Amino acid sequence: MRKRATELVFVAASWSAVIGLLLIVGALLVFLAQRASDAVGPGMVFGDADWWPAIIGRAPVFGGLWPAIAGTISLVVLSSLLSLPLGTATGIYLSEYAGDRVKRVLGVLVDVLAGIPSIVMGLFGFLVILLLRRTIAPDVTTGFIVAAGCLALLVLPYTIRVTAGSIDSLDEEVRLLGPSLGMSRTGSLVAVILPSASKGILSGAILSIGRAAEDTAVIMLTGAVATAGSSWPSGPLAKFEALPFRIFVTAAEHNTAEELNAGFAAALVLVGLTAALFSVAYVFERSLHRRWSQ
Amino acid sequence: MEPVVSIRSLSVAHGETAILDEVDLSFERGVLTVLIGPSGSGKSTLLRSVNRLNDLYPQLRTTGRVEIRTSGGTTDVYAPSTALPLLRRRVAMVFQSPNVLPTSIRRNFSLPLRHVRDLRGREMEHRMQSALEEVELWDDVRSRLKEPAETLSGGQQQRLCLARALALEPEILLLDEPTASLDFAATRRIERLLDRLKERYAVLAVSHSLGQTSRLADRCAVLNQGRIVEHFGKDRLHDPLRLQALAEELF
Repeated sequence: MRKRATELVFVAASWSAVIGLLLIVGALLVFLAQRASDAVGPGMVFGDADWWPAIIGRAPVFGGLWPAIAGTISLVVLSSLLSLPLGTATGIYLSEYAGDRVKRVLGVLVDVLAGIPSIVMGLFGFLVILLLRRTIAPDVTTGFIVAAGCLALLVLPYTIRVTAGSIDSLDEEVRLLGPSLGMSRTGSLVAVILPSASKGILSGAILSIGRAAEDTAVIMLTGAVATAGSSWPSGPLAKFEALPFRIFVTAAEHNTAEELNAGFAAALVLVGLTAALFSVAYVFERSLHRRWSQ
Repeated sequence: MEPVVSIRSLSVAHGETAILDEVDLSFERGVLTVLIGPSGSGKSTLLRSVNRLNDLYPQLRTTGRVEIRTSGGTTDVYAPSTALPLLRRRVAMVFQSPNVLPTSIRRNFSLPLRHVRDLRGREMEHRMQSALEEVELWDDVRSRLKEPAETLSGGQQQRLCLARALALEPEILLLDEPTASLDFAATRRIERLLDRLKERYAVLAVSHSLGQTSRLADRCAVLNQGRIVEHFGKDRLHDPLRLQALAEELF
């Protein structure tokens, strides 16, 4: 009887947690949408510019969100291109090849990296630029590639941990399957282990994409500006706009209620953009999986 | 008949703990040998020492001798010159739970056949078909080779795993409780299959059930705490009183 009551309480608590979470997320979205609704209009994304020339970067956009959206997309794509291969490969190494001692030491280092606040990561990027200016490259400045590199460092531990974790959690017999069929270690890794762990690796990628899209502290120290003058970052060392920085600046410096509402609109767009990037990652994983499956 | 596999004084230890202790066992084609024993007695370790899967656990230390006689001649399994991919191709293994690759039925064959035997195209298709026919699965799957292997029933998946192993043309089969996760009908089907396959392959199977052992085994070895404590033939397995005594002693 008592056991049953405990179980009921447990189930009720679990359900309330889920419902509570959904309510909070729902309330947040409704609040954002309500505040943003005043700012939504034809000029919200592209200002006065025509949309196609603006998207391909031919026409400058003033007053619209597009340069910040383009900057965030570029940052997420470049930081993912840097961090995903490196993080996945390190995760594979940790799980499959590293000896016990190396695993322990590397594990601690990865945890330390995960614990570094993003502002410190931004400072690190900033200091690297200072060092370069005083030594071999006096003209170098903070810019797009530095920001993407620091963001990649910031999200690297997620990818490493999730990849290693999803390989480690595979069933013992799945690990033995490739060798039992006479496959080499690499063959087994490519043909059996990675595909079996791909869902977990994808969730690591999604976590990193979300983290890279929303981080403000790193980019404000490494080259984000309020007005960059071009939609897409014009070069590796160019200044750039980004949604989180736009939101931060609006929140800190707005003069009117309308300006603040435009900040809420930018926040809503960031949520939508992150969801869209997650979907792209999901579709990419599915299509890889499908190609692998046939 | 000369044994296909001879295991002599085989010991496997994990640190100071002995998992297998001076095990001697041999088995041949046409005589299905079943290994039984309580859990933790070292059954899976013994199976995995024949195709050296234990090598994947660096903390395990193996001493003793395992010899296999196949069409390629006699191989000292633990000799430094023994090529593991070739050894494991000759000594196939099927695991407890159906281990299909998370991909299509066809790719479950094409992947290992390409990686291990460099077979593609028509040759691969032919090999796949004959292996699937051998396990009586071809008619069920011929029209759905592109579908995920996970859509098959548990019994069909296990037969697919068996076929995938057979497609590599092994001469020895190691089966680690191959019916442990299957229902009654699927279990019986695999048992009938094994009864036929033993004529072509030397089979060593681990079983979790005395009932199955008495139906299947031509010879039975009992493993307890890493040692073979008994070794007997069919006659004892078909005597209910002696079987009862064995069950009480073991489980």
